[in-house]
Amino acid sequence: MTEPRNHVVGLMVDSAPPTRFSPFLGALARWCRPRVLPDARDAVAWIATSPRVADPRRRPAAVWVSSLHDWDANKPAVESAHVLLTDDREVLARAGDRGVWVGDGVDVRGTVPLTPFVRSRWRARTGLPGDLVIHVGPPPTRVGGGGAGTGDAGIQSAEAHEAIADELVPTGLAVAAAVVATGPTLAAALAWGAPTVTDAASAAAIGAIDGEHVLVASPDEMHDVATRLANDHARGGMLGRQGRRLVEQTHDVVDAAALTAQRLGLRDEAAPAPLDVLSVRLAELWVTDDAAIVERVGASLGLSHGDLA
Amino acid sequence: MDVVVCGAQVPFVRGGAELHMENLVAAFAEAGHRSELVRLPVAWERGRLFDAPLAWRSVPIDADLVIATNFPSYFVRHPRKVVWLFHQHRGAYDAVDSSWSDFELDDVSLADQARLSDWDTRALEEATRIFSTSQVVADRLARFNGLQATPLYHPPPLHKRLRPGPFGDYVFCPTRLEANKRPGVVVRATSKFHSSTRSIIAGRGSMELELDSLASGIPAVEMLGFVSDDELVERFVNALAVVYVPADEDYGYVTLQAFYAGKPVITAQDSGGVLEWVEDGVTGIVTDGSPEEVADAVDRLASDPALAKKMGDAGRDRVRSLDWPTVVERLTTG
Repeated sequence: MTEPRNHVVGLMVDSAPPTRFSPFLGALARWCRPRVLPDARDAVAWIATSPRVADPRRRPAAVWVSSLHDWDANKPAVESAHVLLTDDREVLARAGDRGVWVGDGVDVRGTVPLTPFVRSRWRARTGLPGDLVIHVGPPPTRVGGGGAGTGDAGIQSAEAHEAIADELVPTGLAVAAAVVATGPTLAAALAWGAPTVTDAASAAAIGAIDGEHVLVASPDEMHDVATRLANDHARGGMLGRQGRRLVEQTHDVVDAAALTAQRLGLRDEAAPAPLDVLSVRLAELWVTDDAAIVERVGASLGLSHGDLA
Repeated sequence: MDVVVCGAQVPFVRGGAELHMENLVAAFAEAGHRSELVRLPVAWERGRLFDAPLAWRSVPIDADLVIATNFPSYFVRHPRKVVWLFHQHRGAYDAVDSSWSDFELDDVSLADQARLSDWDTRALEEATRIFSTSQVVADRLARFNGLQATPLYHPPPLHKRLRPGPFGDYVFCPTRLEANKRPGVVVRATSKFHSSTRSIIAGRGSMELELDSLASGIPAVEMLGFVSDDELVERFVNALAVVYVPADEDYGYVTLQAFYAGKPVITAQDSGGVLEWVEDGVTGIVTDGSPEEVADAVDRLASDPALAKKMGDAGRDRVRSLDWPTVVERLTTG
């Protein structure tokens, strides 16, 4: 269930919109109906996927700015916008109150974090070794630790590190006892609530603190640190929980969309109906509208899925 | 101040948790606060497990302070929510492999377990402070949810009436007759006593018929069934020792009641919270939980009443500092 979506928002789209714009737009659609011309004639606000395509006659209220160079090359469009959407931290810093961080493209809200105990249950279910450690990000994705064998999740465990297919990385992040994650994969690992080891540069890039959200180690030590972490449920649970909260606070695309909708005046501030209140309560528990639990709640209350979602 | 204590309700069932909540409300009242107990029914089977947590999310509580106790009452929303955790839904956590847990290794069970873990963590994180009834409960919370809790111990029911007395010819075992309390160990141990010590078991439960049958050929076992508070106190006061060997107990009033009566406690090395109080050779005897070792421990105390008294005195010293005013102060400050 979402707030009313009566407002039409017009889109000015260039030939190659930013890859992270798509999930952002999907989240924004909770509060409005995004349209391009000619269906956007009644738009209450306009969003441009780049300052280069911002039509000055319509003065877009929100503009995606990819870099400071992008900004400096298109100053009139950028400086007249109320909201500057970005995934560049330099742009965010310069934008001040107008900036909205759209994150690292991680679907945080659509990912249920898994505690070390639940991970151990999934490994038992799939026949994976109890101390499975996976490495994601540069250097190449690989797995290690545990005894030999291949679980039905398709992730191979071996003493020697071996590459795993990219499509199995989310599964690996969900079931591993500990993860070594570097570069842009770190936020995804934290979204899964994985007990994670990383390097100093990767941690700094997303604001993760050693001992609070992740463990920071040198490349030579990462695997050993992760193996020890894999066997410490209390510490792994604490890091996984706090790491998840970090990406919820800084990388959630729904939060970015909600903030944008609020600044563009798209959110209806009317008093919520009783079912809206229940929806808010579910959202507080990070339940998405399409989660299976929503259907179960509807069944418990004698409501159809459509009433709730 | 106005304090609301929140707890789960299982209609027609009454046990230690209910007593604990009522005693807490009484303790707040004694300290000069207005206090009420608010309870909502809970269903434990997996198909309805999420109904009660969501119900708690929608319950409006107007009070200065809310104390949430057990699953799912800690889902209540309040700006000043303090959790004093008795237990979570153990069937999804430490007792997942027990016969009464309906969490299996199928995909739906695992998805429910992931959802419950996530919701539990979020609801508990909202608390301004988290206490637990024992270190065992705190350890579980750290292991399963990555959260820290501070153990906050409290006196057991009847503690003001329990007192040291003579060391009689029986060991006492007051317990619910359920599998996790392992009352059968006491019955089997009794058949191996070399001394003339008897075993008196008080309590009711689903194992009643099974235990009656098991004890029928052992004259030294006496099954009392339900007993009044008056009789319970007298049985504690006149016992040689108390035998209490549950599996991974959260806290265990029986241990504390034994100590208030100045009796040593014979327990097992996997009895959980009991071991926070029973120190082997000091306040009782820790066995491997087998009938043989329990019988040996009983015979040892029967042959040396002075040792039983020394351990009982040490146990009484151990619980001397427990009181409700301290509990109220810890829950209301900070």
